Amino acid sequence: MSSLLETRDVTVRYRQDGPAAVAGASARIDAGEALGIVGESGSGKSTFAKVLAGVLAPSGGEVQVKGRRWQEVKRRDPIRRTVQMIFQDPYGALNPWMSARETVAEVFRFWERQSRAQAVEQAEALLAEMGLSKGAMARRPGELSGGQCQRVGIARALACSPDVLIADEPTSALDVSVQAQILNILVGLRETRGLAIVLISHDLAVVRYVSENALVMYAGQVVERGPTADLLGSPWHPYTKILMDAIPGGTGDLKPVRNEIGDGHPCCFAARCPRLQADCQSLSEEAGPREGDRVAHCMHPLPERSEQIEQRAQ
Amino acid sequence: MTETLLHIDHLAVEIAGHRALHDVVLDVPFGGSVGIVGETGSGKSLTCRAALGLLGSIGGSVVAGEATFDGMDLLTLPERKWREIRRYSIGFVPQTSLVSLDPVMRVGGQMAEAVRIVDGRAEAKERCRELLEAVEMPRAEQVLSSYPHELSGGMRQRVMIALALVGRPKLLVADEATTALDVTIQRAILELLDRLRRELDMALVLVTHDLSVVEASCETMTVMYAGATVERGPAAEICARPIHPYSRALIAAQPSMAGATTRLAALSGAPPELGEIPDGCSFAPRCPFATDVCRGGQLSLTPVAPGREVSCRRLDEVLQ
Repeated sequence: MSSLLETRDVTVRYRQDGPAAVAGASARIDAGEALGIVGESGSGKSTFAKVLAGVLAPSGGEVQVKGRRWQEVKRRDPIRRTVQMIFQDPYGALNPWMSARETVAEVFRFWERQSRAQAVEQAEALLAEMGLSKGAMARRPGELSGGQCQRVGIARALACSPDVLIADEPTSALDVSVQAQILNILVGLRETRGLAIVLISHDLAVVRYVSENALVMYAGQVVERGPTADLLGSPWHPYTKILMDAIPGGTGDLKPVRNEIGDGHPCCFAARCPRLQADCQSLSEEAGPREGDRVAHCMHPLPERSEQIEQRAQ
Repeated sequence: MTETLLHIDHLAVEIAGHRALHDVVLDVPFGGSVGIVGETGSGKSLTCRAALGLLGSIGGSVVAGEATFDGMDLLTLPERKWREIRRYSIGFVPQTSLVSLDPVMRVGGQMAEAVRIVDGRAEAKERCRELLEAVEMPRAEQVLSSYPHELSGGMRQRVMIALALVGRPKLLVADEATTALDVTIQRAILELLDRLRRELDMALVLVTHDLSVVEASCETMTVMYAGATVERGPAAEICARPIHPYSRALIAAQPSMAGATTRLAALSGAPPELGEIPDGCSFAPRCPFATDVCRGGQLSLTPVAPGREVSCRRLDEVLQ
């Protein structure tokens, strides 16, 4: 398997002397893979997604798409088609003056240099595949429901024939029943078109449903990564555990507090961590348990796991 | 009946001549917690507006049914009395609470405006601080002199809850109070609402489309579809064993933390538009159990177990 998208130690600062929104995050997305990125607001998920999509240049580190650096790719380079995004606000992401059909047809006209009639025909076929009725195709975003707008957004992304779809909270503005429809479309696209999907969400159950691998971000850093089922089934990093416990009906008594970034502690989670100890000061880049694809950046991962690893090592 | 604080029965509301609510049934006991769930457009927020006497501002009016609050008939109240109820008896945390604060006024000033009416000028500052402490606001003093944009989403939500508590209400209505928040902040706000409910002996109505929120925080729940109550009963029971096909569909559409081997059961179609509510069962066009008997006539809630009612014509088949 070749890697489609790869980042190494990406750092993003919105102001030169400001805090890092993303601090040394690395990820790799292979063809057809589904990767979930979870974390709270302000953890850097969306910034990282923009870096992956090539719409935001990182302040440091490297991003490669099919072996080429994003920084070297020009605006109209066809490789931009490879990575497409769908957005959280289904209405805000569409031009309010264009009908669903025109929105998608525009993409075919731009990239494929098609005639108007050809572009409209292709757009209609794609929108129909996304489950939009003929009547809805003629409507503008204001006349469509949130779920329909999101289908148009997905169709517009697919019109580029991408290899990777980056979905930034695609269902958080939608009802649970509509959410299920959109998630099923995403899962279906992986099967039918072999698309890779990067799904950003604060809903762990959504990530669990769509993606087999996941990253947990906190304060701009990736604190834990691994197969979603393992990672959510038995979290190693205390932050992942807090996220799990916060799900309604969860059992944890960990009090969430504010996101505190950059107090000089080597561990980004130190200010909130219930397992913080003196030796956390010596947390290095490489510290933390590892097992296959699974990594947690923590000196004191949840004990049941570290014991298991020790047992296996013995 | 004395145990019921808010009682709504067969409530029907019209907006600009269109029937928006047609058979809402809701009972909120003193100090109890009730969740209202349903998709967008099912009438959850409109039911709240009706309970707060705020239908007039959107051109709506009650055309049938009954609604009482603490023994008072809400449907015959003059506006003066309504103002009193909104001030002292029912606190409301609106859906758009994150943008409901005045952006050019400090939080302290906004809170004091409301507090002065209830507690008088002399007490205002002290009472504002007390309210912020009640909602577990970190650095309360600093928050009072901040502008809303300087606060995080969770903090603004706490300010809105504090504002709803100004009149020491008997009932707090929270309309999608945690929808825009992170899972950790959501948890903190839900715990806060639950603690306030118990400590202040206040009833809570939680409106949401997230069933897991209701399951975790409410004693009873009401499932709404197309302006009518289709199922109600103990929240844990409905979430574990939903009876109405719509409740079942909502629960089946939720991704589970246990992971899924099959596709989510997405509900096809969409709820009917305002003014296009079909005769008979409104859910029939989307219902897998629907037959001709479902289309036409008047439906009503049928008791199926103690405290549990379902509005469905094909109960025998559904229950099998």
